Amino acid sequence: MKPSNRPVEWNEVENAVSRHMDRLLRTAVAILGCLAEAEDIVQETFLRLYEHKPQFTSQGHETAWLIRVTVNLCKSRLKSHWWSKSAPLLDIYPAKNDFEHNLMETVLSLPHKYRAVIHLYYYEGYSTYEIADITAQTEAAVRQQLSRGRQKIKDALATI
Amino acid sequence: MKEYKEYMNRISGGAAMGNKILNRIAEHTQKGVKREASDIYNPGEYDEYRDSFVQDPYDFDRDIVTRKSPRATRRKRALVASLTLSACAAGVVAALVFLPGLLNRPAVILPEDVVGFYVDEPEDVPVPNYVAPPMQQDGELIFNFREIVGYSWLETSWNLWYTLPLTDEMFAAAFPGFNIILDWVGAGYDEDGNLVNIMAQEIPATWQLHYRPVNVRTNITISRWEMPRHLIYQVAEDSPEPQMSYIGGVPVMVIVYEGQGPVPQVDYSPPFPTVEIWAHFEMDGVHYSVQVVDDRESGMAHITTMINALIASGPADLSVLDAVIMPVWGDFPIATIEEAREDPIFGAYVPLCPEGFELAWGTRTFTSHENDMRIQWRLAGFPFIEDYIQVWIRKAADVHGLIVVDVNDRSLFDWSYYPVFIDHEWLDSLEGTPARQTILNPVFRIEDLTEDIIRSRAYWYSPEVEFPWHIGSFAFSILDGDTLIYMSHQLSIYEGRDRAALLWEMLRPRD
Repeated sequence: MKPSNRPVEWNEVENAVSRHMDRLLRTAVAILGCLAEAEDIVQETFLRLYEHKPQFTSQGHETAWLIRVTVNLCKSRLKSHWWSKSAPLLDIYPAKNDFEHNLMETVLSLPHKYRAVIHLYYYEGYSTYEIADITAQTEAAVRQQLSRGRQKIKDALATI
Repeated sequence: MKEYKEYMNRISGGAAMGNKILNRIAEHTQKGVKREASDIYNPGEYDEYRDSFVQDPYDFDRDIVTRKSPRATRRKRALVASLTLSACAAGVVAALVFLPGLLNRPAVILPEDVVGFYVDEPEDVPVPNYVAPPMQQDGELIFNFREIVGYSWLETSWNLWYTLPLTDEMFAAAFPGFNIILDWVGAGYDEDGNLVNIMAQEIPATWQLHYRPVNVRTNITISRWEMPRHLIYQVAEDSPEPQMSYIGGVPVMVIVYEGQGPVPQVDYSPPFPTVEIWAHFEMDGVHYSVQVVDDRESGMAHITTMINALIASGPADLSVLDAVIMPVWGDFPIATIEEAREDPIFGAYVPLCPEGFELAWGTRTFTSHENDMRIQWRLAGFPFIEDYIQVWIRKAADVHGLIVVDVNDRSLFDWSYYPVFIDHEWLDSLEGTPARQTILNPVFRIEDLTEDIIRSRAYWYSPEVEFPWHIGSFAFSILDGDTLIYMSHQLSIYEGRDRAALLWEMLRPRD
């Protein structure tokens, strides 16, 4: 997508932040498991939205673009040695019961690639085809990761 | 997964985070700060170029820049060789073998037009062929101080498929004259087995943070080409031209970053103001990048020591690390039970195929953090009945919190002691009791296992329940030496007694 040269109204930025901030934060938290890093990622994502000023054909298009950038930034961050110190996510956002705690603990212990597709599938409701596009991999890989992620959650919860 | 959604819905940035985002955008546009490479290229071209390298780090079918990265051919011999070298995923170390004839890997040459592996440095860090006026004596490092006004994380297109921890001997072979002891040294390889870089770190115990024990004091990266950086600092536009240093005739660029970047914000222990010092130089075709995080004075002294030691040690010989047997990692389908039994680590623990069942699928997983085998059998001839028996075999050392039950205390594992509810909350009644830890998946020693014990686990449950884990588990595990076999099953068409007999026949000791 080529960035446009159109000026960006400040209220467009505010609206975008208001509409998408929490969703992007949840995506980044799901992948990284760290709130501080996730907040950084979300800031960077909106900065790129502002810099590149893409023209979207629909709300869905805008959402997918933002999530895609968030996912990619998370991947880069995962490769980095430098991480912020942060309290465990479940300390900041405690689960409301044992089962929820165990479920989230299990999900957060999965490999990052499984967490990404599980979040995009179960929380965002994307199809495997759409997830493949967002995460830049084949649909077969997404299905496999989803299947294995589910199996790992099921197996891990069964052992608790 | 409604609980997952409910939990995630509670995560919110709030007004404070929204303001932070808007402030950052406002500062970025108003300060006129220097940006990263997107300012150097035409933004449209850079965006297309950068987007072209967005790839899943685990999908190696995509091109890396102009190099193909085809999925490596996994030869069974290499797999078996890899498996026999490893006792557990955490302890994998590939042997360093010189096999120049056997390993026909391409030479690692960076084509001149390859830009994907290299992201342009910001303008305040000139490329090594920048020649500074002769203003200083050779041997003195010049520290160029920069105030951080912003920072960006960049996507990079390179990835490491495998990191080989290096022994002292391996490191000495590559860097014969370097005599400073480092806490960790590893060599990174791409999927084709090409050496990407050497990484060396100092990780003082007092610097290890709670969740990522890799916050290092010193981080050295050595490669045949300049490694792209994930983190680019933005500095004020009016910063003076940085000056090059010369150590032993080698031009070295040293930048001291101070201020509010992500690294100085980290809550290190002991808490003191930190700076991040970057040094880059090239010596005999090998690129060195040295980072030190410390207080200003100590950091400057330490990086001086590091740079002098690296240059004084002379040219590195990276070719000694080119020929390495790569572990064959991934998820490998198992086609037959015979194939499963050939596995050198887990083959001996594969149970017999239960009567009336056939192999549904099998997977052997071998990665940096997983080493296990899963096999599922299904009812033969009844494709629409979802009954199955599944085993998950792995090393006991890879399982946290393993509790082996005392079979004399049946309350720890016998389902007949407990009513079976379809609501998970019934487990709350067991809180504080030993049974809470064991009732869902008791671990039996192989020598304690009897058909009666299995019968106590082969319980009937209603197939109308949507999610099995909501109603508890009827699984159990067997500890056979150092190997754990987890058994789970769904056997709707079998009564309890027959179910136990079926499973016992799979597991009973054979003469």
